[in-house]
Amino acid sequence: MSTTGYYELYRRSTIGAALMDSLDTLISDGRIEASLAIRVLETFDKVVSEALRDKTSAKLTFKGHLDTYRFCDDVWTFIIKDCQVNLDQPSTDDSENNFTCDRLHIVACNSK
Amino acid sequence: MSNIEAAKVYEEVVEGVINEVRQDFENAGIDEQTLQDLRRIWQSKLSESRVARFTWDPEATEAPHRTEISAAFSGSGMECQHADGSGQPSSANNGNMQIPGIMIKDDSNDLGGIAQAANNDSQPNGEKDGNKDIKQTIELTMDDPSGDMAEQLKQQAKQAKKSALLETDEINSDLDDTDDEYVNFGEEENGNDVNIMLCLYEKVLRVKNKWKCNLKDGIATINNKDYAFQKAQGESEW
Repeated sequence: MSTTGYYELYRRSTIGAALMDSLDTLISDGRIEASLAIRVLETFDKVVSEALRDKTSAKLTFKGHLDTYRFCDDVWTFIIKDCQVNLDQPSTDDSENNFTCDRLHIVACNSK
Repeated sequence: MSNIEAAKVYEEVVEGVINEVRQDFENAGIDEQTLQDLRRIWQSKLSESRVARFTWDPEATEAPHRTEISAAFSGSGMECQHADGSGQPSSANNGNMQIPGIMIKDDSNDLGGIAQAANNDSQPNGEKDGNKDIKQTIELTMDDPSGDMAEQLKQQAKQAKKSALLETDEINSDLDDTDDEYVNFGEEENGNDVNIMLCLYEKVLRVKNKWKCNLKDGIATINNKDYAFQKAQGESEW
C-alpha cells in the first residue's frame, strides 16, 4: 500500500487539524512514536483525497471580488472578498445553500 | 443542516484512516486500545469544532462548552479581586462579580502596562501574572454574552504577547519595523482567515481583470461550517 503522491494540503482542514491534535496528545502521553503519527498522517492524505474524489457529489459556485491572487510552486492562492457561495447538493432543501462571507481564502493544488 | 455531505465524508475518512493504519499500529507494537483512543479523541475534537453534525456527536454538546468558559472566567475574576484588595477603593461592580453564570469582562484598557509587567518576568505567560505584579485597579463589567468571551481573552493574550515581544526586541534600529510587520502579518493570517477552501484546480483563466477557476475535490470551512464538494466554479473580478 503506497501512501506517497498525495497532497498534504487537507491537513489544514478541520478534520486534518483535529487528527493532528489527537496524534499530538498521544505522542505527548508517550503512547505512540512520532514516526507512527507521520504514517497516520500520510494515510490520512490518501484517504481524504480518495474520499473527496469518489464520495462527493456537491457542486459549488462562488462569486466575489478577487482581492489577492498568487501562483507559486504550482499552487494557486486566492483571497476573495464579499464572496457569495452557492452550494448545489442533492436531497437538501435550498434555503441553507446560499450564503455569503466577507473573506474566503482558497488554496488549490494542481489536479494533474 | 445543509452540510450533510461533509459530515458523511468526514465519517468515512475517520473510519478509513483507522482501518488502514491498524496494520501500522500492529507493526509498531501498539495495542488496539490506543488505536480506538485515537479514533475517540479525533471524533470528540470534530464534535467540539461543530463544523457539522456527526453520528457520534453526544446529545448535548452545548452545555459542557459553556461550563468550561464560565469556569475559566470566574477563575480570572478571582485573580482580579486579589489585585484589587491592595487598598484600592472597590467599585460597585466587584460585588456583582460572584453572581453565577454571569461573565466577567476584564476591561482594563492598559494592555501595554500588563505586557510590560509580564515582560519584566522575561516570559509573559498570560495576563494573570501581569495583573498581580502591577497591582492596579481593574474595572469589571459583565455585559457580554458567553460567545464573545473566549475570543476576547484570546485577543488580549495575543496583544499582551505581541507588545511584550516587540518591547523585548526593541533595539532602536530601523530593523525593528520588520518585527512589527511580521507580527501583524501573522495575526492577519491567523485571525481573519477562518474561511478557507482547500481543493485542487483544473483550470484557471483570466481575461483582463476577470478570473474564472474550475476547482474540484475540496473541503471548505465557511462561517464555521464545513462543506465538501466534487466541483466548484468561481468567478471574480480583481
